Amino acid sequence: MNEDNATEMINEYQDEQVALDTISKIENREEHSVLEADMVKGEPLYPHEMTRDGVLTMYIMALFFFLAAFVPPPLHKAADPTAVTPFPPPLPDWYLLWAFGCLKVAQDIEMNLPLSMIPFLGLEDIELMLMSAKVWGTLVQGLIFGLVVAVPFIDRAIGTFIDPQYGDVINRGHERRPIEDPVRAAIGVYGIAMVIMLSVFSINANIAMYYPEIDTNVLTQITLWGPIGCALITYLFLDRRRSEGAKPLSDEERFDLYTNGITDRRMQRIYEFKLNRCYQCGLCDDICPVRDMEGEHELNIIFNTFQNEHDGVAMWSCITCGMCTAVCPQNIEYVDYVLEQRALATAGVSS
Amino acid sequence: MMKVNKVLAVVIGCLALLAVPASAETPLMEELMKKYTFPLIFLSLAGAVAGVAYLYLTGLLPKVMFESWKWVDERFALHKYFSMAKREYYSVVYTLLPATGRTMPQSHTERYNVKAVWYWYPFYSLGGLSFFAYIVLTITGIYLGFYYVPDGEFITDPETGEKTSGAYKSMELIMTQVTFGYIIRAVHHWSAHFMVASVFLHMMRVYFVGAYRNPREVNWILGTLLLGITIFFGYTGYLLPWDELGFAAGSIGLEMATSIPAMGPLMAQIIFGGTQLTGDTVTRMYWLHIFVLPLIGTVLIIVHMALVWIQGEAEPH
Repeated sequence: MNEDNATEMINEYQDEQVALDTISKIENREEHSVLEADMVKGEPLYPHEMTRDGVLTMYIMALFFFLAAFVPPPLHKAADPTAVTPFPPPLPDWYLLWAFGCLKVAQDIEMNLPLSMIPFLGLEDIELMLMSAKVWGTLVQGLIFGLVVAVPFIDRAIGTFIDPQYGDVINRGHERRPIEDPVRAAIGVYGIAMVIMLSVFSINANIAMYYPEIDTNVLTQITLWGPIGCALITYLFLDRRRSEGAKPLSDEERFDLYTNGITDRRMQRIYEFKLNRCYQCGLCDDICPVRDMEGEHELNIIFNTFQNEHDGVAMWSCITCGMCTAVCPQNIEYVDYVLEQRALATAGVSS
Repeated sequence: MMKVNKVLAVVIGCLALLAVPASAETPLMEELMKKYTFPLIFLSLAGAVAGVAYLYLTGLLPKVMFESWKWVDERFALHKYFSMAKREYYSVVYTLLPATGRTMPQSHTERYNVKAVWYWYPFYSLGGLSFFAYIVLTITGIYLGFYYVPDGEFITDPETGEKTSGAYKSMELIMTQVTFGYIIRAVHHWSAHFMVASVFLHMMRVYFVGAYRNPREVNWILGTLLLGITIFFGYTGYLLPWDELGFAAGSIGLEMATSIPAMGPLMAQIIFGGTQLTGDTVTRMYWLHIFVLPLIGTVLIIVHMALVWIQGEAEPH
């Protein structure tokens, strides 16, 4: 047997091993580790989610035909370039109203140079036209579109601005729910409200026909301040919701808990109740240092404690570092939960 | 023999009755087919379904499918390509997954072992639903394209003495004469509105969960381009009937195009075919609507979805 043959054989063997490994991975894809063996498997793409998608698609198709049958598509009179434009003029479709609104909001930007204020020169006032309404009304649309395109980079810049050292890193690849990021949500609400208000502004002539008291000045004020108000309300609401998570125990309560055990089983004190906020994102398990060092994928402290599993191995291996709460989107105090469970477990043992 | 004759007589008699009033010139079968085109289509579809159901119930379906697969496979050696594709798929899954956390598509529930129905789910199907609307638009649009004439030249209708055009006349034809023309146009209209709405909502969802962050910036930019294309689709689309609304929209668009500093007239020339609304405008809009935008849009949609496929969905925790 020469050297080439040996190399070939080794290569073949390695390929075979890789193939076997891949096959075993594919076959064991759905299985869980020993510790979580009785955990219910997730819903698979087929048939569960496919069914759900299919049902939604059917609904939408039905919706199309329903609308098509009962709300006919408009066909107005034929175009006539010589005809007088009717009042109020025909409006574009709803999704273009914001662009139309940009054009309508725009006014000529003029500047007065009060040159006659300068003594001894005998100059007259000059009115300068800086930009016509048509031009900046069009440019604003481009600006809005450009802002939307640049959202990822603006977002990153804001992150860096708020926290020059880590802001950029923290934001990287971290999709968040609005409640975790109230500022971004508020900015988004501002944008949406602005677009809606621009659309409303664009039909001012039609509004004035039915509600004469809502004139252009009122609409301008609403367009200016309404979105800001919406953004503020969003921020305040989300910020409040964020701080509403399960409150940690006070020092006195903790002392009481550890010395006397649980004496008062009120609803709010029971952490199972607080755990109802959990929607199983798994971040606590991802960050858990015990799991990281000891369990790899096989020790989910919270989950296994909740299930009363494994003779308390999970429960007693917690080092109560609080990393899970730090990453929890619902601010659930898992440490207190684990400590409470320990207190419960040892309640019958006299020290 | 007598029985067969009787049965035949009954069948032929029924056919003759169905064909009433059959004219003397046209043969019986042709008259029947003319009269019962859609029932016949329906019947053949029902027959196909019944056939498959029969095969399924008797347990012959896998056998038949396997035989037909074998027939094709013998000739084109398809199994090679299939196994290659499968191997590549899983090799990508297992090289990307551990290293970067980027996955080939798994559903949210698969990935996080969520047992409950996820209450945000409808927001995550908006992109798919807009794609569905796009397919519906393609099918109905092909049908409308058979009858629509992109002729925007203003002519005076000799009967009423009012201005009209070839495009508008063909629209009237579709709305009143063409078989299923009305319902097809209505479905086209409503799915267009639905598509724009779902694209808007899809973008809001992506914004509010921060799904545009690293590594998905490129997909966000592609998405905004697709939003622009969708809106432009809508705009060119409602200019096409060349009615009052379309003309007004055209005037506004032309104003906007010409008011762009420095390159206004050029833009007007490119998009509207001149600085006045003429028949050329309709031709341009037609070509943009049925060729240019679908081409760019389809390519971008494929890239957009491929990126979602490669990078995985972004779900907030």
